[in-house]
Amino acid sequence: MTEERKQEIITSLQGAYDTFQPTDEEPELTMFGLISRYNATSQNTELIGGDWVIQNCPEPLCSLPS
Amino acid sequence: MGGKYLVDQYGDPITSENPLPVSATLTGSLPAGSNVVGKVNKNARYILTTILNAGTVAAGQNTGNISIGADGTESEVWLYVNIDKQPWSLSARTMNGAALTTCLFPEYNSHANTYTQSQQPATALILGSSPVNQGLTAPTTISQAKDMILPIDATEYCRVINNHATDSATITIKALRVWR
Repeated sequence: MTEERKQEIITSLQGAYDTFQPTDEEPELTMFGLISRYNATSQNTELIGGDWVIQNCPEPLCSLPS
Repeated sequence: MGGKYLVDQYGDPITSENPLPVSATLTGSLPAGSNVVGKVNKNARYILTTILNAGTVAAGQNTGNISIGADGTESEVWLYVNIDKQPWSLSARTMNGAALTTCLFPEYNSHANTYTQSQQPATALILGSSPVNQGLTAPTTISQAKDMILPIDATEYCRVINNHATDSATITIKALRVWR
């Protein structure tokens, strides 16, 4: 993966994090919620998941609960 | 009982029937993203571990073999699954080598519901056998399923299949090991 692509993914994930609004059904954003949103809105051709986020993303993304 | 005596966290006296918990030092490491929650109470002890943390599985593909992390001493081993596409299937392997959807109760075979809320994952009890294929009667209730649990060991794994025709699925699996 190129560094450019990596940053593109991180930006997209950060956007999903920043726009998250807690609800009764989803009171906090989990790693599942983050990746699910990314899969729904982006072309996840690399099939990244929670492990990739933990290894490559800054806080708070890398510390989201599972 | 008169005089002074030690009590546990519930206020009950420490006795031979209610001994002090053993203190232990754990070493080693967990896979990235694992969360371990341990709890001790009077009736059950459990360890909850995330064994797949929001993996992405392409349409028609599976997670690969995911180690459950059991050691054969458990009374029960449960799997919690969050997934955002359907249908999907969940299989678990027994010590005999069968890795089938019928090795869990309830069975999730091309299951038509999604489970996107972390507080409400799909839940399955690992049976340790595939009853219908091993001369046994398949359980129809949780009680029956619990009664026929056979142990699994550290080599056993589970697998989720994304049966959706076109879309990738997000999948989180947690293993709940219980000692009663």
